[in-house]
Amino acid sequence: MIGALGYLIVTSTRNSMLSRIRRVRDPRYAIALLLGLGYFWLVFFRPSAVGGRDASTSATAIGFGAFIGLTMFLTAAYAWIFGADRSALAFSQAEVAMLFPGPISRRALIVYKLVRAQGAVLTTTVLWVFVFRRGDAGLTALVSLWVLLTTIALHRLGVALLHVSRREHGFAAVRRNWIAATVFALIAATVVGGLYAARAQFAQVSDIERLPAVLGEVIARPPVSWALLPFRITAAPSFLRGSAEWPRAFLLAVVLMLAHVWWVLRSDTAFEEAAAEASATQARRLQALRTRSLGRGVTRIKGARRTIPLAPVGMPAVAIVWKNLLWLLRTGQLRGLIGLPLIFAGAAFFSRRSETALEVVAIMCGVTAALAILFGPMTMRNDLRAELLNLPMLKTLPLRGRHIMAAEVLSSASPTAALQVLILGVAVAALSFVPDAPIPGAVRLQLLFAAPVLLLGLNVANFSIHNGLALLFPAWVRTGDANPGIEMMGQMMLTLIVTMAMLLVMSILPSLIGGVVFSVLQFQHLPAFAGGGIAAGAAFLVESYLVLTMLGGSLDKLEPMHMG
Amino acid sequence: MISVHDLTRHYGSFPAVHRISFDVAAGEVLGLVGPNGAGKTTTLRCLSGIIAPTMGTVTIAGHDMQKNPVRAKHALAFIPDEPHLFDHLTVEEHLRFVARLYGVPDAAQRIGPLLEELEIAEKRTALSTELSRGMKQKLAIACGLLHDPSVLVLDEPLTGLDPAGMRRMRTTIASRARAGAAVILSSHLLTLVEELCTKLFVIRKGECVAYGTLDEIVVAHPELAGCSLEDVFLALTGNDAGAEPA
Repeated sequence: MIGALGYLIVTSTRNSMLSRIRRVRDPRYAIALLLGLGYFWLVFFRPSAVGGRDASTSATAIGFGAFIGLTMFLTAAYAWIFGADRSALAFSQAEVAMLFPGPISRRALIVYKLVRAQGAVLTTTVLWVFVFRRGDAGLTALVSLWVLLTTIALHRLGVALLHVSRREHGFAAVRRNWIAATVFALIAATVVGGLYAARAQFAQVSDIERLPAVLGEVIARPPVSWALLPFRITAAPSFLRGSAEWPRAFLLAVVLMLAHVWWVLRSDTAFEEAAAEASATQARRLQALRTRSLGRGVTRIKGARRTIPLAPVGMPAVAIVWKNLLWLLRTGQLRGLIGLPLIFAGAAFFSRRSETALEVVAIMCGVTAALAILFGPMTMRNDLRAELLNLPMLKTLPLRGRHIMAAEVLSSASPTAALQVLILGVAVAALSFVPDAPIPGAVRLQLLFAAPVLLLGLNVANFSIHNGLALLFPAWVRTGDANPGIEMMGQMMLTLIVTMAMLLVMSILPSLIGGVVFSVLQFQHLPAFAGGGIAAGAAFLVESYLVLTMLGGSLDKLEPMHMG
Repeated sequence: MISVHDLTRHYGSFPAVHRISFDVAAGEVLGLVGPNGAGKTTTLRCLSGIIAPTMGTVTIAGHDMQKNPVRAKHALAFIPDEPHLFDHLTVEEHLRFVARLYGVPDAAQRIGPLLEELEIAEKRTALSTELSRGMKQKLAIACGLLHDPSVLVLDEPLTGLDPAGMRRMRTTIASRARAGAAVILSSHLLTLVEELCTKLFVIRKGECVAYGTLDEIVVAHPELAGCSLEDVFLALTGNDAGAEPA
């Protein structure tokens, strides 16, 4: 059986690689590859890039490592509490059809999944070390990052297994995973308790710039530092490269990784034991779980009865936007879009007596809105990228390609823009209680007034680029609606670099137009920020319209055989 | 209603379909038959606008599929053998989606009877992921029929249906043809083809080997006189080992 699964992995990987290489015969892919190689040469082989930096032993790096530990804890806590990351358990339809009914144990399937995930982990490791860190590459960098990413992938899988098991067998499943559950509960309680105990220290911070330093002191002190130790152990080898402490740190990280392997395989055993105790009905549900839950790496569908009205006549392309908004509703993402501004609003309300806290909330709002431009397209995928797997159906719709493209892009760009506008609204409201706020009140209101047009334009441009890449390079760009795991970070980062570079190019004209309008209005003592922002947003929309028209032509010509 | 002229489609240098031509008038049902890999699916995909012909023309209800695809697709319903549905839409929402795409003002009045006709009314609020294979096929058929298309292109439409569903589907196809729709039906179920189709188009290795009514085909191939459709099919497609004159 192991031989068959090994054969499947090796041949699938080989054929996939060959298929991607053959794509280069297409001039479009050849040009993209040349551009990629050019970038690789610039960052890796040009003389100034060799040598790299070695900040691994510096105090800054170690301090940064502490924050990484806290970030990893927060990410893990999210998975433990919400358990939404079921892509860790995703199997393809072919795997479900051929492996699940086969004489293969669940444990063998999990091991198979772990080995398959190694392909993406290794790719990310190599990309990250050689491309993004330039000359700072070496064996220690490679193995350090490999251990880090593998441990994170294992943790995701373990938590996902526990949640599947809990849904099937209730509290009994948690009891059977009591070691892992207790360890994480203790860690969470210690971190939360430690931060709560230091609330007076946070309240005394008068200068906002001091806040990271205070937070760093708190998490570096016992007992929070002890609680975050497992996370710091995992990340430590990446920050101690070149130092005498690295071998010991690496050994500890490997031990922690092996502990995760043991936990994941034990979770599987617990699952099987619980299943054996279950009734015949539960056994049938387990089968359904295997074929549905494990076979699908998508978020859970909720609220099937709630809907959004749609008139039967009118612009046909609106039907696509409607369908994609229902996707947001059914996957719970709409709740997230509304929830985030509400959380910030709540934070602002409870901080209303502290100007510093209100400034922190406003800054967090601004940072979140900015990050939504970067990472929004990675998570909000209710657009063409999800539809491309269903291309034959899309091609039979009685719509022009440009109308389909516009509807698809609006489906994801408009909710992202709405989220940003709401968050910025909270920021403006929070700063209105700060007498000496860095941005004057009139300017804040002007920016808020311009935000809907500016952010809609910016997001339409951004999502047009992401969808355009998927359309032009369907064999290279990830399609489907499932969010990737951290093991896919390398590909995500490459996509991010390419799309951001293209967005910068698309921003040139809108920036110029916005700047000119701003200058003219300011000269005439008119609301320059509002005018400039709206003009820039309108320019983005016009540019995007032209891009989408071109992409629509490509969609009209795209055929299922072009897909990867 | 459907006019195909010199349709050719190559995949790289491989000619999947080579210079085929046929017409289907209103009320006619054309059976597209051929062995696996003969070019049936490629033909249907060209007809429905999923792929473009390398050469030749496809005209649907007077509209060239290449020059005026939106109008051509408006008149058309393509029901594939594998239903393509949206995971996050319910049965009724699929129909509302289609209604808006095709501009069906009386969709609310049509949806109920259509769901009743296809026996999926009780699944009205179920998500497509909650449906069985047969139910999904019925929903795909309902989506195809909602806008009352003048051209129906069906690829193995009975796949996944239960016996009652198959009988109902046969009745539906026949009634749509009687109502004036032009139908192309691709199936390996030769009894279905024999029962419903007024004309046959037999394709092998991308080329037409026979076209016309069964009587016309037998006239063109006198050696097949008295043979069953299955024997005619096997003889025409080069696998006549089992041909047995009646």
